[in-house]
Amino acid sequence: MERIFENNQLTLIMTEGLTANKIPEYNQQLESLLLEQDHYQKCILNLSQTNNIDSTGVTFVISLYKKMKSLEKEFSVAGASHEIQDLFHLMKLDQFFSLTE
Amino acid sequence: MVVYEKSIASSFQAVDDAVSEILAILVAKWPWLNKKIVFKVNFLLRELLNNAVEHGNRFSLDKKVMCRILHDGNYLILEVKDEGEGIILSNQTFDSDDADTLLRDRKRGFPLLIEMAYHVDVAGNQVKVILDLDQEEIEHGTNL
Repeated sequence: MERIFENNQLTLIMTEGLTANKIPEYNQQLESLLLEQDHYQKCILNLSQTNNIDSTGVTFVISLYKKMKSLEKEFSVAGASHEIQDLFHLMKLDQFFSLTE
Repeated sequence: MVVYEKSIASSFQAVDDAVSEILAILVAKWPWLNKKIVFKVNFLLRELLNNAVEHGNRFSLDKKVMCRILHDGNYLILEVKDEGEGIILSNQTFDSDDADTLLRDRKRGFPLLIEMAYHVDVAGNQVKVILDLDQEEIEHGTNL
């Protein structure tokens, strides 16, 4: 997971799958991001580099959304494939955060 | 026709490796498989195998998960069997509009299986998921 801080915005680029074998590592990285919350007002999760996701990965996205909401930060998902967008739509998650290709 | 049959170690990493191998086999066998079907097989397999590893075998290194993929007419059949005592499945769906329900931390996998598959059959510690490729072809434009 790559992190880019720019213009008061944090972009998280998923360079590998959002899958159960990777989530513990991502959660560890998130802990440090929470300590850097003064450096950004908006968080964008960029999924343009992966189409691998499972329900643990979906839970990770929801967890990230909840954390950002609790910190009063904006949150959105960008670069998601049509398949991932369909999946999130099926779970009605698109009503909580914006989801763009 | 059996497309794939292997026993897998009880870890999420082994699941990831196995799913990557299976997808490579399917795409090599049917190069015209469209992206949406590959995505669906990828997602369904991960759900089945992750559940077997975590809830069935409880990550025991002494236990294996058997995975078999069959192609029968217009059906693609995914079979997963663990060494656990059988699974209890959540019947929660995505019908609710309640935010707490939709944003729950767990119990999202089985409802997704039901939504995405043509048929799901659970018998003790074995789950069989059937994809109707005719239906997938109608929805997504592909052919096997």
